[in-house]
Amino acid sequence: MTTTAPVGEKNLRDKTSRLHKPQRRGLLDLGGARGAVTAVWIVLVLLYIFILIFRPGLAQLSSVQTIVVLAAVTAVAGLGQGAVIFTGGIDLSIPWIMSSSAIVFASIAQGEDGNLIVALLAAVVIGLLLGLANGVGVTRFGIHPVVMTLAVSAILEGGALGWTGGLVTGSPPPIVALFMRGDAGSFPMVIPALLLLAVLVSFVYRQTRYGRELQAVGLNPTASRLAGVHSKTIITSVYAISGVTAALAGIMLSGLAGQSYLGMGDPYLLTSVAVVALGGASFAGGRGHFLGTLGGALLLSALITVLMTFQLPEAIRTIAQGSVILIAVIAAKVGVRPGKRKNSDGIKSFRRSREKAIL
Amino acid sequence: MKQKQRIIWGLALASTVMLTASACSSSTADGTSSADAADGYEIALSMSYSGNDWQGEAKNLVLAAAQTQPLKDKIAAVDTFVSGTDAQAQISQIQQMIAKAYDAIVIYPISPTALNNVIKQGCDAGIQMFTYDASVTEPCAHNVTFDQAEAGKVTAEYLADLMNNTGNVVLITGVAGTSVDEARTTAAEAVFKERGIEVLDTCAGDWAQGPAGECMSRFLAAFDNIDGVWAQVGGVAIPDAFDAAGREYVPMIAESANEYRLRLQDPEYLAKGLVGGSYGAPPFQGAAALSMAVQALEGEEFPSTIDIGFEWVPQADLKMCATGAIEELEAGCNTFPADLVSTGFMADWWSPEWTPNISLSTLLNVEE
Amino acid sequence: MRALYRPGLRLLESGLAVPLLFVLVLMTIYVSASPNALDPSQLKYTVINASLTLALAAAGLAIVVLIGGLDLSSAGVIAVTNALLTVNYGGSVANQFLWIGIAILVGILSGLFNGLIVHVFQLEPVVVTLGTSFILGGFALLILPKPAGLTPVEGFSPIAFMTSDIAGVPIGLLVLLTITAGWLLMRRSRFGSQLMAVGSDKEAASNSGVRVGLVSIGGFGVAGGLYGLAGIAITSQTSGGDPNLGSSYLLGAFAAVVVGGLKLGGGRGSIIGAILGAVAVTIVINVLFVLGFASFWSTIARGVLLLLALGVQSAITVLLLRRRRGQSITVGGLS
Repeated sequence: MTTTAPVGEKNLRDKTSRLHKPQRRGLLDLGGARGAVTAVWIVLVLLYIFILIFRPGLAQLSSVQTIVVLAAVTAVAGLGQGAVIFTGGIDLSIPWIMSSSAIVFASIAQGEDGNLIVALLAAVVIGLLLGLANGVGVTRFGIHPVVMTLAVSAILEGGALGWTGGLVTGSPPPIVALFMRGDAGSFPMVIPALLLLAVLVSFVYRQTRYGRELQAVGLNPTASRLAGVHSKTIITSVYAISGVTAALAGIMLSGLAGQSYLGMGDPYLLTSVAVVALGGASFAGGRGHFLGTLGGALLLSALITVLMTFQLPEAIRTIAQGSVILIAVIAAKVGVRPGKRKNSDGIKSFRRSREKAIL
Repeated sequence: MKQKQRIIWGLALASTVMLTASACSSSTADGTSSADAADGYEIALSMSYSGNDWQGEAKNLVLAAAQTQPLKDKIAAVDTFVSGTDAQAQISQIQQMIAKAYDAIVIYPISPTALNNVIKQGCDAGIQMFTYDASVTEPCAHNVTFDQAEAGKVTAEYLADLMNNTGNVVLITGVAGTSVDEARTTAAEAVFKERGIEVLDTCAGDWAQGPAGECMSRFLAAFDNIDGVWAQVGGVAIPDAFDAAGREYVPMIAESANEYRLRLQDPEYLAKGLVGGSYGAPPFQGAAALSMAVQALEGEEFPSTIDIGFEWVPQADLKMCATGAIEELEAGCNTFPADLVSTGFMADWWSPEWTPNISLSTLLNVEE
Repeated sequence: MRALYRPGLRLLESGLAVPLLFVLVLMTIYVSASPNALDPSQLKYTVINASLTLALAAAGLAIVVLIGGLDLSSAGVIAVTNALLTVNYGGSVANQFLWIGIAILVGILSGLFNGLIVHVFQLEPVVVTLGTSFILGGFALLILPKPAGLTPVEGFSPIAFMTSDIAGVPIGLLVLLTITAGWLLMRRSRFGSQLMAVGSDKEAASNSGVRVGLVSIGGFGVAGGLYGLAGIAITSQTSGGDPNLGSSYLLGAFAAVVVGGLKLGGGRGSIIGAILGAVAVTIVINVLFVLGFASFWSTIARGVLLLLALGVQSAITVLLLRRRRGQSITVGGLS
């Protein structure tokens, strides 16, 4: 946090020694991502003010509720994607983990609330195993994340098609739909659940040893390994997390849609990356936070809905989405850059050598 | 020696894969043969996307038709191939089918124009080329389809009537950029314009409940003056979206999903004001194409577009089936009990002309 | 045998061994299972024309990968050029060539745009190309709202020519050979070696006086031009345009690039590898078909192919390193 830190080794030692001396930081200490995360929430607030002025109908509670619910799936998928990107990788298998888990979920549940627990467990375990496979491939076999997750995705796609033969039998239990949609305008439980998730993630990130080790690995895997952090385990774990969140997102989506079907996860490949980008994460790793991703998901959802009120054709909406992503990442970079320059000259060369390693 | 470990694992993986592959390669082609005919026509079914209820049903109807009379004794095998959303893959597969000299190829094309060249190759090789539901613009192909524009028009008119020719409507379309979607939507928009109903907005429902429901939720958030919903697919998700938002139902048009049809007859939903009509692309088009292909092989001539009509069912004409036996279907029932089929099952699959000997249970138990 | 040793070694080192091996093996299986596969017209259709679009897209992606980035905008450029051509191509030969030129130019400009944003703002290519892919896709839909065929042309049509043949030699093959030749020239040029330097170690390259920014922007531009060519290829292959057809080339191009032996961190590999990789990925479909596999195996096969390619590539790399004693064995991987 000092602005005139001495460069090189002493700086490094300071940073790693902090690992073993837990400091009392607030829950919302976002580290390097602070600027960007704040930025996305500021934009969100600005957008809300815009809506209040120009489209007051959208500012009502029920509309806001809809925007949040629709953002929830992307946010959960973005949680895993963000964790993976934090370590400098990327997860291209999220769409098909979503679809496969949702299909298994629906097949086991067969539309009965009684089967919820079993179906949920099965789906999450599948996501976990697939995520672990990704993680092991990346860490133990040194396979590039793009390749590993792409391969897993392709195998899942073919496997799902082969197993179902095109027709998915069964449907998600009604309680999931209730969770996602609420009833007769009442508050859907997914919203408080999402808030709880944000608090949980922030807590783990800042206050637990796992979180601190994750930060160390994200910022500088070599140095953290020297400091005794099991970076391979950490990296494997983020892919596992991504698998689990993808499974959860798939289940949530099946609740929203009322059914599971092949390819239901496809739109979430690019959007999961987009919301992580909007949240100010660095794709070289080491900077990012779920609060940013959450803000990004809300922003994207709100944007799409607002654009809808202007009755623009689909094509224009797509162009707008792309432009917002570009503007957001440019703004995040420009906003963050002045602060960065002062800080870590010694870290810079390490970081650059890591930049080469993955993306 | 991490590297050594890596190589060994890599080679182990490779050999496992190859062994599994060769073990599985013994007759894993998904095809079906009729019980007795040793000779008969060899027909290939080329499907592009296959991941939704409609596609699965259409395929099963083709296979079921090949396994029952009157086609059973004439067909030796129907081999199915799925290419996904990659046009090149479908082109390659059809080229292989031509090389293998199938007698006829029945196609669900990924695009109305992308396959023209390869379809022409097939015609030149003397193979009967039939498409179903989606058409292609290659003149030598025979397109078994229905009038998409007519479907858009008739359903829009019904909705306009329900709305008393006034108010605002939202449109939930199919996959943007396809000619099927474009034909239906343009026709519907023309009707609304003529009747003085304003189209608030359109949103791509991608012919799936998920995106359709999302569109509807966003519409409900964005507009509070919706008086009607015209959708191509979304009959289950759209009322759910209304429920979730705590808004009252408005007249709607959606597809022939079984759950939607059940709700249109369900007193609980009727009490909440669910009014609407059900239409859709009939899944039996594939079976019809198969039947016509066989007739063409036997010498009959067909024009390049064959309109076999579609089933348009206003709410009043919905009728429950008990078990889906053939007599019931012949008597005109068009909705199935919820415990027999899934929610998205398309209920307009039966036709007296093209699937006369296929009952619901035959369809659901088709062997691959 | 001795004479083959050195060139053999060079082949292994270049990373081309894997895609070459895969193509040979797959072709062998294909030919043995399907008797007339070697028939010139069959080859043209099922191998050359089938893989042409993907090969060009993969070649473009390869350039970006060589610089050390990832490009998600290939599908978007293909869609836009395809749309432009479908709407405007036709008329006189001069007009036809004009629009082909415009298509390639649009591709180059998109690439330059990507490169500019990446360099000026020091952003990661993944994220920038993600944004531009949305924008390009939207434009494609604006230009061509629904699928349509090309306006029929009297007489010679360069686009139609692209997927036909002269005396049995497919033009697509000639196009790929031209690209290969272009690559070999570029590789030996200053730009080419600077490109590889930037991909290997940006800092060192910058310290040696390489204008990293210009080189990367140029690289993106070349990639964009190749995507434009891919768009022309698919227009030729399908004699028309469809706004939804570009999407499958995105992940396919990645698969081709990986099978082609390119290193995803940059600095090693060749466009030839990407082209061969694209051919391999394409004829896997044919092979599975003639072997009688059910269709869903083709996507599984693509995934397996990726992992296999990587495994074999690693094995080769280790063997090569062992050869050179005295060098430390720290093969670039993650910690």
